[in-house]
Amino acid sequence: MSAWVATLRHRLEGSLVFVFLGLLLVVAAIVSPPFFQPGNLLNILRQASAIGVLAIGQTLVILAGGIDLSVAATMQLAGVTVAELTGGTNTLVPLVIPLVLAMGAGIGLVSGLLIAVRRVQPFIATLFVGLLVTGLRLWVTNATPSGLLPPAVRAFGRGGIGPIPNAVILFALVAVAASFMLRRTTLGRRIYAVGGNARAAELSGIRADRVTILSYILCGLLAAVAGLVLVGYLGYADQEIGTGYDLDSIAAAVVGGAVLGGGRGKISGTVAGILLMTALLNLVLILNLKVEYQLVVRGGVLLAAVAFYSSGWVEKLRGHRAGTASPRNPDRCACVEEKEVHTATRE
Amino acid sequence: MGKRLLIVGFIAGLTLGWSGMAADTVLPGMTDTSAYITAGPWLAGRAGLGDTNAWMTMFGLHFRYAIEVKYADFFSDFRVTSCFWNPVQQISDIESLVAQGVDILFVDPAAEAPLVGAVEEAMAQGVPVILASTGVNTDDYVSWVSRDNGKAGFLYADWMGKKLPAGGKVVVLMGMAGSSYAEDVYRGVLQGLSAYPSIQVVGMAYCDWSPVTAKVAMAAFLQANPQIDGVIADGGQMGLGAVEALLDAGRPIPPITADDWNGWLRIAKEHNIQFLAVSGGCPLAVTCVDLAVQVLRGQPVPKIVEYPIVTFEQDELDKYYRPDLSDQYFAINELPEDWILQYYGK
Repeated sequence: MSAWVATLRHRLEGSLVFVFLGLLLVVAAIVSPPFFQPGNLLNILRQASAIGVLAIGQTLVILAGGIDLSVAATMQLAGVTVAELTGGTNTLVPLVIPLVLAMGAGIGLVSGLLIAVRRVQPFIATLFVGLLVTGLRLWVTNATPSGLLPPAVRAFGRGGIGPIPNAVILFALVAVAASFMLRRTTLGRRIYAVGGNARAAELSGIRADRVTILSYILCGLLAAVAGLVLVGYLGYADQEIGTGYDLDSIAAAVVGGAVLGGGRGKISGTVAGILLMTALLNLVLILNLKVEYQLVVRGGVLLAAVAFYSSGWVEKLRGHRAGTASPRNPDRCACVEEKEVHTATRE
Repeated sequence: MGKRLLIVGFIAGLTLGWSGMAADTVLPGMTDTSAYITAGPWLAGRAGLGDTNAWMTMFGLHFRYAIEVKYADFFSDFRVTSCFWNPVQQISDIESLVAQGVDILFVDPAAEAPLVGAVEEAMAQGVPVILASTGVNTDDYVSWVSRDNGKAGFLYADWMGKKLPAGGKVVVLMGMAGSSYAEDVYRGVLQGLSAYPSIQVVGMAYCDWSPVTAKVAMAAFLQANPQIDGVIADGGQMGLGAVEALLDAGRPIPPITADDWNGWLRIAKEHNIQFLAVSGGCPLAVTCVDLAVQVLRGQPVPKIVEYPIVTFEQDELDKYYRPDLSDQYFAINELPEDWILQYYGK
């Protein structure tokens, strides 16, 4: 019985965000027919792409037990740098894009080293790395970047294959690759292990510091990719674009089921989380709700989504059926907790 | 335009007219500054928001130009702090600048209410405070220079009302929800549109002046509304986002309101857009420094200065658009050409 409930709980927890996304789509179909126009659905996917790529990077860091508050600054730097170095022409694009990606990875490397080697708290290390990156960008550009993008970079956000925008294809590829890496590779298993219990992972022979550094490098790299997608979407490298995306990317991961302490979460959850957030914004705009109602609806739905993860309602269900309660929490069964300890490092 | 000139002339007349008169004859609406007479050269301080976007950068350059060039012989130094829109940080900045012994303090406030105590304390310590752009909820300052943001909103709406046929549908893109600036502009927009009751607002969004957010909002409004006849955007960056969404949707570009940002003017030229540009008013920093010189000489200054708004349309685009400069340049400014080329030349 307990194994069955634990399995049910595990599956439901992993699927709750999809339940909310499905509910949102049903509600949208009822209250706003324009929501389901193919053009609008593609718009939602395209708008979700840049923040989605960013959130996938953030998820890797969160799974490894960290957090990255420098991703928005990295995005802004990537967008401004590609505009500044190319001068709005395609000539230097083959050189500049790898440089920008390397720059993003380099910023991640700095954060990773600070955290893994110097043992600086991830929150503080990435916050100050973000400040440093922003300051350097403003210093170098005098806060007046040119903004003009080469057509090749615009293709990241505007072009497409058939009706599918390039940004959406890129987002899907990144999601599939990240999911594969987490599920099927040694690195993926080590990320879960380090995030679940770094000490236990080290005792198992895993170099936790290397895994941490690598997760930040991947996050920085994906932040640079997200920056290119975002400026491509806009068609302009505004230096302020992406402001606030650091917290949005964390929110998407958590809404998607990732645990901020690390060790638990899935890329599919993050993708669903970002789609939920983007579709919700689109819906309240289409309904032309007043701004106060927009915020109440968005905040309420997302809060409800994360509250379900925290409330342990599935465990309550199990508790009622099994009739046994945990000594730590009367609504929580001891065997579930025990099971969690065993499953924490394998998602 | 005539009315604006009259207002400016009135303010200038008051300022100049009273400058040679005794301090004890200060009229209502003017501030007696006789207590602030100080031998030069002066130390100036600015508790700023941070020159991190195009408007703030040019605003900051106007301060520097006025102090380092226009009144170069009057000031010994100019100390600037940046609070990055954090009022708590700005309170510390004000206290720090006062402690450094500034003779005059410029504040472009991050918020109206939280800074009351800091501004009043600076004044109590004998440091005259000049507010730039946003106000503070106190009368304890020597002068406040600002654009009439409600009027800017009214001008947007009135132009759009005249541009559109009866029954026209518009989208409104404003700045940050809850900011006094954005609310003033929006209030002006609603007031202006009230004269055109047949015009329908089919979409309204606060976009934080971000082109990306504006594009996301505009894309949603386009899906919900097959007909959009105009876009009232408070600034060229949001106008750019709206244009990008229209282009992506393959829809014609309707009349759009914006500002004098060079990036917007470039887009307007490339796509032959009918627009109204309303100046953002970054040169008001120079007016602040003009007033500071008068204050430190003990000449009465107006308590409130309404900085004039300049507007222009598509027919004057070539007069204002500078293809030789970066997008971050603002056409309505008081910077000398060498400064413009130094900071905005491509």
